[in-house]
Amino acid sequence: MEKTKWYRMDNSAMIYPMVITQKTQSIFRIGVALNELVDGNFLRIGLNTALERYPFYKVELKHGLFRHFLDENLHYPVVEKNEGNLLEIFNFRHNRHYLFRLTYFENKVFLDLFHGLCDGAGGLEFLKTVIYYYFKSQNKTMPSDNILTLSNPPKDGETEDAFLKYYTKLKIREGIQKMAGGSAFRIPSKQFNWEGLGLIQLTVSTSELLKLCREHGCTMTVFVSALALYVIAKRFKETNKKDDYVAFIPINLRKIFPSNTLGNFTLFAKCRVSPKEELSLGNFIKIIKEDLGKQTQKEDLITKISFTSLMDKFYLMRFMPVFIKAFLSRVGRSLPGKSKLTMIISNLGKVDIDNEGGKIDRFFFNQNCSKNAPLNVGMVSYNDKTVISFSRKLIETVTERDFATSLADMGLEVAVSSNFREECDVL
Amino acid sequence: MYCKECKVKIEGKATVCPLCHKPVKSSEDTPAFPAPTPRQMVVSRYYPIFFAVMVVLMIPAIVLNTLYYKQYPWSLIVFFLLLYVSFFIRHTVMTQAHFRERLIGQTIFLTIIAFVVRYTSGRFEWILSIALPALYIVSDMLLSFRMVQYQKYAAKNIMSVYVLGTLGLIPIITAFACGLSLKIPAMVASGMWIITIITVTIVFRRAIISEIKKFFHI
Repeated sequence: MEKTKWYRMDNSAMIYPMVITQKTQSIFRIGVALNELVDGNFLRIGLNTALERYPFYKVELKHGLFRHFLDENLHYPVVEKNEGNLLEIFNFRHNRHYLFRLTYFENKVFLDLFHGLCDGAGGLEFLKTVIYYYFKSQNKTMPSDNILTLSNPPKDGETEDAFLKYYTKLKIREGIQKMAGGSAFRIPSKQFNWEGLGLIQLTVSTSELLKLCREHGCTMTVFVSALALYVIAKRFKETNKKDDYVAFIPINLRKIFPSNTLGNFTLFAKCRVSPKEELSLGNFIKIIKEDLGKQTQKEDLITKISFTSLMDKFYLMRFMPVFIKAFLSRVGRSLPGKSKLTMIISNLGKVDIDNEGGKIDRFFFNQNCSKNAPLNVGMVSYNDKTVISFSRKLIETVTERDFATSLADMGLEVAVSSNFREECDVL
Repeated sequence: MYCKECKVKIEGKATVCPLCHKPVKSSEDTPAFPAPTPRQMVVSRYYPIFFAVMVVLMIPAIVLNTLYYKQYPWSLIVFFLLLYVSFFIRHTVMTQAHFRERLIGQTIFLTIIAFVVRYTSGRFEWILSIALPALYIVSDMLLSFRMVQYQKYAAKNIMSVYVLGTLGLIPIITAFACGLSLKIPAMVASGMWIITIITVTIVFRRAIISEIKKFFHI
């Protein structure tokens, strides 16, 4: 009898399975809107073919004595119509224990991924391959440039723990100082009682948005982060005099530290704007640009990378049974304390695949939300369309409205779509 | 569709603007996203309901037990049976666990029930001499059939075979330690498990080493 393949979990991903509860899982969604209706059968074929190229994703979560691991999943994954709730928690049994869920609705394909498996960049690569084989199974041509296909077999580096690769010895105090953050302003608004997040998706022209960013002398990530924090600060200028507005911005470390990993290789930059600062978009852009610039310095990132890898370097932590680690993690998470962030703003960047024949309309990226981070932003660009997705636990949509009208006032044509989640709760 | 209030174009079927919630005239037939169907988590209500049922049934059981058959604490059996029902619903029916995990859970819990019934009643020796071995024979057969039926996934059940195989010694230990008059069923049950373990060890020797490496990796 053959033994099954298995993979060690990334150090940075270890925390996610430990804090899974019946109500919360760390999931995010990457989606694609096609210019045709999605056929579930071909999508299933596309996914199964893609999984041959991504054995690292054909896994289920298991726990050993000291740490979780990813064990080969011998079942076929389920592909089905989307039931409507955004980032609903995984029913692992229904999902045949896969750490992702592929669903579709009309012309859209939704890929929900568990963070213990990969980060946004890894998930996007996987979705590109699924879509490639989806079209290929229908005998439609699609260029394979920048897509991991079966013609370029899996490399060893794709399953590496990139954090360990770039680990250097560090003083723990220094690491704690870099990773720690003070309290932050949290939008004080009523949240949905039941599961299912609200979604408002803004679509703008990438070239127009880039033009605007160039006028302000910043990148798209800085501009969107600054504008999002600015509209919040403007709204709460009378009531909030104390708490900083803090944006957590994930940095794809693959761009700075070469790695082929398809797992997790992302760290947060924490950009902080004081409510005492001058309330203007230009000033917010300046502060965030400086802050982000400082936090993306190589030396700074190496300290953070090394700190994240400490779990593997401390013998006490390595040999501690996984259930004790999980217990401690849950206790740590449940301790009362002020929120550390106002929102997470994640930019997956530009999707670099050829759109021959115009089969693909756009990509989108939806972040998960929690009680302490009830409104988050995910953005991705493709085909001259930048999709800025606000996912939220909040009933109100004022921040999104202020954000969208600000863009419109700056001369951008903004298209809005929503899942109207708020209609299910009393407004 | 355009919302003049927010100065944005609205995509997908909508009766109101997603941002300001003022009515708009819909020109599209299909919504941009499927309609959410929010559900309250079932588990959030499960334990309060179970606790209430437990209290409602246990109070009269304890009262009746103190009035009738005082020498026989049958309310303890009621308590364990209620716990078992809860365990069955929560960890066998509603769980997302694998078959092997549910089988181990059931076997352990039913073993506990068998001992509780036997030693609280002071009677029913057949529970330990016949029912307990039968339980282990059934669990052995279920796991073995499962491994034969799904040979592709058989290697995944190895650890469960060892866990249940170790537990499979309980009937024979009980038979001798408790001095049961009927020992043959216990010997058959434990013997079956020993044979299963030996067979699995021979057939899956490579997979076993891999499973051990996985389980103890740091």
